[in-house]
Amino acid sequence: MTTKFAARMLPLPLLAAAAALLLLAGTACGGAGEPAAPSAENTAPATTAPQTAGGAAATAVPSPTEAPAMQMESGDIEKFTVMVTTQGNELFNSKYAAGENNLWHRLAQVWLVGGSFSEGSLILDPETGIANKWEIVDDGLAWEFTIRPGIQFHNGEVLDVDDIHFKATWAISEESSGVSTVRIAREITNREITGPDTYKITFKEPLAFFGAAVSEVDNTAIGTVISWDYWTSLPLGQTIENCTPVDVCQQAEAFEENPDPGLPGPFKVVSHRYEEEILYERFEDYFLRQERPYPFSQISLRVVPELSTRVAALQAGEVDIIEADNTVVGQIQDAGGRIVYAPESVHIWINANGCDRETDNDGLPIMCHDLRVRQALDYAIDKTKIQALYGGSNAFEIDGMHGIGSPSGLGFEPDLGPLPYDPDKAQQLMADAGYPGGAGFNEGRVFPIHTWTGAGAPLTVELSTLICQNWKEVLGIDCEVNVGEEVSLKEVQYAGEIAGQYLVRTNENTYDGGRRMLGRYAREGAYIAYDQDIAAKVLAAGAMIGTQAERHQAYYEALRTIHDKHYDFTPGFLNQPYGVSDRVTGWTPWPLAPYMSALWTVEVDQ
Amino acid sequence: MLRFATARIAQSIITLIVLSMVVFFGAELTGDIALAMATPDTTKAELEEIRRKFGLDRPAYERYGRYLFNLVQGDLGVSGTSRRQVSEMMAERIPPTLQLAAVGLFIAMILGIPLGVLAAVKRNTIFDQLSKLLAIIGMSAPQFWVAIMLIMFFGAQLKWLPTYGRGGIDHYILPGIAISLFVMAGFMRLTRSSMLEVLDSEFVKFARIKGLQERLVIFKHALKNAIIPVLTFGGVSFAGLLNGAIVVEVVFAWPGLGRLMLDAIRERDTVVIMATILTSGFLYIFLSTVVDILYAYVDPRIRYQ
Repeated sequence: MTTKFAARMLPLPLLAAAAALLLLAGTACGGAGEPAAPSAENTAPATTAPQTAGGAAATAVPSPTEAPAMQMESGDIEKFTVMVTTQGNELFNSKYAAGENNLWHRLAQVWLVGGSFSEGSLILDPETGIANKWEIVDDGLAWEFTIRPGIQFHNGEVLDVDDIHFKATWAISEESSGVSTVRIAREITNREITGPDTYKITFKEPLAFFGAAVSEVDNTAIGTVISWDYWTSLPLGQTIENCTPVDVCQQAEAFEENPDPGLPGPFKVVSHRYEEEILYERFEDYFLRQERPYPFSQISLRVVPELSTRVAALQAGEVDIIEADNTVVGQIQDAGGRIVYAPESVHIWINANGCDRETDNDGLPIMCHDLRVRQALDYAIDKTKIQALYGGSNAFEIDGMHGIGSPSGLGFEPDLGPLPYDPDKAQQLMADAGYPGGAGFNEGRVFPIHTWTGAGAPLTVELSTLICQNWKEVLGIDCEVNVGEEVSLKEVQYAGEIAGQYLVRTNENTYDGGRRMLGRYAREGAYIAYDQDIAAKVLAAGAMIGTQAERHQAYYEALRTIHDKHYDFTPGFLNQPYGVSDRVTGWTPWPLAPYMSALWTVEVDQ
Repeated sequence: MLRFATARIAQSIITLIVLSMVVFFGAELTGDIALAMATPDTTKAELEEIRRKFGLDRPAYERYGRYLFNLVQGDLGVSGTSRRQVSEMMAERIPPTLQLAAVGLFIAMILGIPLGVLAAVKRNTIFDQLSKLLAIIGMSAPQFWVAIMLIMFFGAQLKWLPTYGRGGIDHYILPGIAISLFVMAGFMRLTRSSMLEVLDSEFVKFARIKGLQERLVIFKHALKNAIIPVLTFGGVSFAGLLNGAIVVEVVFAWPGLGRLMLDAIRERDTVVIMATILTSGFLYIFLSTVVDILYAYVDPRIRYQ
């Protein structure tokens, strides 16, 4: 082949290759349009004979879900769109579900114990959950739930105790994804159906926070329930790795392919494209349809990671609510949008490591072992500057207790908030501890503050720098900020390599801090601190069986002791800003919820 | 020819194996993956259990060997985060990325090649200067910034085009432009220089002396010869567009391979990280190999070297 010939021939195969690639991408990959809603055939479960929890053949075989005509009510809008940065793993099966930003669950599920928010308080509410009554029995060792009659799954089946038993045996087990769920499962000694509508779970020791753990006010999906009959009707799919027993695990995948018929929540799942969009349609037979009147027949949950894109979509009128942050508040307001704050959603945690130890891994004294030093460090922080950093008092409140107690949470009282900025007192405490003006502090070594950046940790570097400056200026400490990577920092933290040093981080807040208190301070060998006084109070609070007021008091005492010991501290908490479009005229999100909560309170202008 | 093709394919397989090793052991170096799944109050015993559950307590070489063994059988594993089959996730994510890359390449070609021809034919005129300026912008403007600006202007201000997501044809325009700019600049400059070279050649001068119309001289004789390296560049650029779509996919919430990779990195989902990088690597190596073999097919000098 001559070069001249080659020159004439060459474009042909290359053009053909380019055309083939375009064809491959444009046609062979399928259309780019929105996927169609699942057909009746797709949603129809197979008719494999289901087994009841007790092993007997079930009488009810779930019927195919029929696409109901959408019911619009006066004042409703057809489609509502919300955008989040990211969410958990989008699994509807709570055994494997992960992520506290779990709006996808909230729209389709109902919790065993309901919750409500009124007069500024969150409560466990017998009117809004699957259980209309719960009691702690057998000397505090067992929780007995009475199941509300008439709750329907989306396929029309009625929720009963078999479904609760399935939940308690299958989803709350040692194989569950969540560490908290596994811990609870390990405490369970017996799960039993005690009557046609009653169910009892017995524990090794009294577990007072169990009710909150399976409630709607908790940030997890531990308390959600799926239909046992629907589950057993599913065809076997592929096995999920690390999952036992295999026959049940095989059904987990089939369930995720089409979870909807087996869910009882306010919305039905119409279509699900992972990390892209979940489209829901209102379930008219939802048992709280009157009390929670979502004013839209469909809701589209979109995952849009880039903040600028979410803001642009809000400005373009393509979306109703977006997850925002304080850097774009002005931009949203200038474009005619509004900001709604979800109170107490994220706390700032100045996390002490190993302050119960006297010396670090190098045998040098640990400064924060001395209570006076710990208190001085807190008194030296000017919280108002931190508030300004985060955009003012709407966005940041100087209150709360680093994720174990918060104004709307159990056990919290105003006297448990951050120590006030008091440079004189801070200096006096440091002098009393033997380090006047910072002399001799930390053996003359640099005192590092560790932090990391990333989603869910807004402005932590700037925050740490501010704290460091305060400690330098007020206490004369040679402080520096070490910005690391989350996993690497956790590695050294868990290995005890940063004992005596502080880590500045953020985390979701929670209603019932009992589990966190236990994990952080009441386990010997915990990397944060183990303190006998705290452990005694925390264990007492965890085992406190009594009225809500009595539990509040027990938690208060535990929190009080933790506050007095002052290992960890906080300058305050963040209120999560959401940008809302001009057609959203009202919305009251719940406190302590790191997701778009209480969407039934949305009011819209047509 | 067969020997050349076999050698090239063997090279590609070795490259893929090396890539898989780099990715796997690179992920190992970034720290203990179990810690990414831990909560602040996770105890050491619970951490050990997470490691055991996900097989992280086994030596790295053993896990790599098992991974490779499964890989050659087409099993990409199960995502640690979503617990879904990774092959299923890839099947969902590859088409949107291919579509976006194809649209990007299309825009880059239909704009870049004509502008390059124009710049060469109208050398040293205002057209040439403008195309140069456009090329500089295309090469130097950060993709992220361009994408945001397009969204802000055409989406938020003018409301002409959707700001995010995948849907109808209108959803492809802004991400397509954002992803194509860099490659379009390449097409433009390469076409220009290649055309200038051909326009100076004897056969073009001869065609003009023969009295052929200028349009025929440019498009039939000059462009046909000048386009060869440009199209080769197109083949490699397509592979580059597949891998370079991460930023655009994130900004436009485009559910492609790049976004999946980024999400997996953020969540330390090693199995998915491995799969996305290997898939991107495979696509790049596959396309490069195809281009090389086609080139060798039509140009014997390549295969005899």
